[in-house]
Amino acid sequence: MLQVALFPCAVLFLWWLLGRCGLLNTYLTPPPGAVWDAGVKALASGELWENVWVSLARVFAGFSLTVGLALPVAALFALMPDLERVFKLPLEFMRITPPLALIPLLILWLGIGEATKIAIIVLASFFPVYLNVVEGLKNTDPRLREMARTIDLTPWDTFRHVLLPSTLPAVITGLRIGFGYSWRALIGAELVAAASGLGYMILDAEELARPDRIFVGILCIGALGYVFDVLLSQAAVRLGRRLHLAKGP
Amino acid sequence: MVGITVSGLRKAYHTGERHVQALDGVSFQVQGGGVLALIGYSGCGKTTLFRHIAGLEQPDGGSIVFSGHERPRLGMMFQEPRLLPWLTVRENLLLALRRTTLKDHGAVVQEALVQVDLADCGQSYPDQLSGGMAQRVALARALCRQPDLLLMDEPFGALDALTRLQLQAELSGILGRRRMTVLCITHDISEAVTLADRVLVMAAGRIVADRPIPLPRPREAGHPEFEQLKKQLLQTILGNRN
Repeated sequence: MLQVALFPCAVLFLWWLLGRCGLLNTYLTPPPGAVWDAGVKALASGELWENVWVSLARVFAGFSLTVGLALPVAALFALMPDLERVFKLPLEFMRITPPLALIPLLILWLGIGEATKIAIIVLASFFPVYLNVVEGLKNTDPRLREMARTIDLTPWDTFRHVLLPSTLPAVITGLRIGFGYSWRALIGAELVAAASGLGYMILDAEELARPDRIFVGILCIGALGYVFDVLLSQAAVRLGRRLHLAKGP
Repeated sequence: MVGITVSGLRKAYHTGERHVQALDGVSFQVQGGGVLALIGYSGCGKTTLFRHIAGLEQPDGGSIVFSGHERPRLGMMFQEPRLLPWLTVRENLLLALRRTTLKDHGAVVQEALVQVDLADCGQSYPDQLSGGMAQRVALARALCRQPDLLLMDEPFGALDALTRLQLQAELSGILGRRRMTVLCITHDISEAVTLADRVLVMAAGRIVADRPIPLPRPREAGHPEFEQLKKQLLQTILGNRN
């Protein structure tokens, strides 16, 4: 824990020291104390909580949609390679196109409301989840699949007892990467088209020339992203232990 | 008990411009309850034949007919244990029983573990077992299905010599107690003579010799007749080397 905190503390100290010695333009880069004060004020007024909740609600809505979409599609395509070939080109096209490039089109199609932001989150997080699950399923040891045939397992039993546990580490990796991408895409979307949320808060602070509030927004985004990634990792480790996957399949 | 009739089995593999005739008109018959060993050099077609009998591959020509059962219940042992690492030993065996009509799966599993001398290992995970123990679990998994036909593809090939001898002796004892049709692929002549009633020698995708093993069980390496049979089989294999 000490090792993890050492570098951020050093950066914070250096930041404070440079401000104290007058080596920073405090109008552009406010010292840590000013950022702290701005954060406390935003918390006290309820504005920070409101923006955090709005952003989190968007991420969880979009990411849930991604999971509900990517897992079955990946399973279907991994088990039916011919079907995957049919959709390969459009999927590759969508994977390569940055979701933020689609914002103008999404605003035209879906309006400036929540649907656009959620669509951006889905587009950004779908492929890490989808690709990891497909690869995980394809990389299942063929000898285990063959063993399943020799003991007459049904396709469902094979999926439940062989494919799913074997793919789980890849699924978890995909979920972690996908969640990170969701978070990043959300802030991008909120910077362009929103009237609430952490991205909006940052943009609003820029327009009001309040770099201290920009820092509050950035630090919140980073901290929340980190906390949720840690929670997801711990859930994955627990699930892995329960399924005896700690050493991998 | 199920018998097997293999007639004119052919299988070729094509990789690029390379054409390999893995099975070239293989024909033989096994009576129900017989123990047949297949020996030969690596690449002579033993495993391909095994996979066809197990239904894991389709032949280019010829047929495999099982007498007594349209679809016999198989027990299979591969070169490696192929245990699911996320399931305990007991769960691995229970999964193998899932599609069988056998009653009281728990008791069947326990009986199979006792047979292979692993009665206390039911709650262990495969990565907590030695290579020999894992292969014993694989044997228990094959036996607990109470198979009509037990297929083994070099089941002890990856084990050290001492463990291999121990498991051969255990398997020989089990086969002496439980009558079932067995097909065992091996490159170990001693293993073939220890286990089988009959040995087929394969070379270049064909059966080149068919030798009965008329020795009483249990068989012991070092016995003059045992060694004589081994010598004859070795000469047959060397004589058919490509």
